[in-house]
Amino acid sequence: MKTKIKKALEAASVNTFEDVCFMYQVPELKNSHKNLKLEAASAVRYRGDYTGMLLIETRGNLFSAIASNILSTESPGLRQKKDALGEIANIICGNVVTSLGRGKLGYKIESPKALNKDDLLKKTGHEKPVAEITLNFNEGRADIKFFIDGYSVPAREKKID
Amino acid sequence: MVYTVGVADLKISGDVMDVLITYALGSCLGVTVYDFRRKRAGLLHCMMPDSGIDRTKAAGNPFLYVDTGMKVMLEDFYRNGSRKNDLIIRVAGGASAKQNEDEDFFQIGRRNFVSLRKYLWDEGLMLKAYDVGGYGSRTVTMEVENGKMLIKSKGTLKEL
Amino acid sequence: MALNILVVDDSSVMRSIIIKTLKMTELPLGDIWEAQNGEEGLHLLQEKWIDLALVDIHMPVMDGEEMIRQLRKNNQYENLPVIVVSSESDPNKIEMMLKQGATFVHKPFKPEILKEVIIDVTGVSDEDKD
Repeated sequence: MKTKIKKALEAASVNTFEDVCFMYQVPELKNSHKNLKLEAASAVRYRGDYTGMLLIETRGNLFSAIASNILSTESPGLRQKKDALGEIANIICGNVVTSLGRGKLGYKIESPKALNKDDLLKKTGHEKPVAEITLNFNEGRADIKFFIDGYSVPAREKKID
Repeated sequence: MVYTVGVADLKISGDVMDVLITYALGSCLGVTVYDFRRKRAGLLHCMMPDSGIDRTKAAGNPFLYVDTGMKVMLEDFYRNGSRKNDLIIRVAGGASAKQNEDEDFFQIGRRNFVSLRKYLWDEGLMLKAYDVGGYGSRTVTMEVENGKMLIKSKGTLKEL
Repeated sequence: MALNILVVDDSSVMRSIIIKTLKMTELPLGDIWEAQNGEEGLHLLQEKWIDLALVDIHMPVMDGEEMIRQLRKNNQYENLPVIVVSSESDPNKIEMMLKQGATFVHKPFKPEILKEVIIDVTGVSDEDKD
């Protein structure tokens, strides 16, 4: 199941960045993007047979570039940047939850929330993502993590693996 | 007359007797623009996604890159009286360098297509049709008289 | 016929993407109305003449499923073309939307796909260009 989620996360993220932000992966930038500073983060919670969260963190100049590309504007405002990153998180999350299996309930996806650094630590401090990927772009880096609540609890970990 | 468009090259014609052709599009893109009111056709054969990687090279030959090549081609159409609504834009090529796309590390074909879409999105233009990706080469012909775009690939011929 | 279109999505960015795409289609457009959730969407439907609704599923206050259920109950909107534009991938939910007479466009989408579906469900065209 972990592999399935990771594959779904990768496919959804790559497609979303290509089709919505018009950005393509540049894997050869992996080393030069290694130490880029965290710029922004956005989280989307989902509820259904499982509950959890998708988290996207941007580094480099990606936060601004996402909004800039989507809205075809050179200098997007903070609100636009947050909304654009949130929407990316939202689309990716909607695509990934199906890989958790076809539950009876279906999944509700909540509105995305922009996170500051304190929120980020609080949200992810004790949790371990069930899947995570890194995408390198000319404009910076995106780290995308998919959490299932309680996944770090051993009993749940057994079930997921 | 039949004009061959080379690699990193552009040809635009308003002569209804002309046919534009470009061979062996692999990861490169063959982008056609047709003004159906003025019967003018352009065929761009570009190789790389973004001129940002080498501005000097792009200044020397803008047709190397998707963004600079498209800019030159569209500006020519606008200078000759075309309006956005008159233009039909289609594209072929952007193939993978490997049979299994996952083994194609650089994915230049895919990058080229994304770059074209970005350019068109910023310009507010939409593709009429596309035949991109996969593995193998394509030959594209464009008839100025009627804007017919034909793609020959793996022994088959189809109209886009 | 110029299409009056209602775009219902809680994300302002997604509404901008959809509206820009609509303008790029070169289809005959009338007024475009925006709503942030299903409830606002239903209000606008009562107030304005709408020919086509593009509706997200996951929204606060009233989600897209509920909005479509409610509008189908009203004879006036029984046959209103509705396109669900959503990242929803659950086949059961998509099937339910289709049963309500909606058409589905999956997010992320390429602009050309949305255009094709609009032509398909409304019958309008950009035939001037062909």
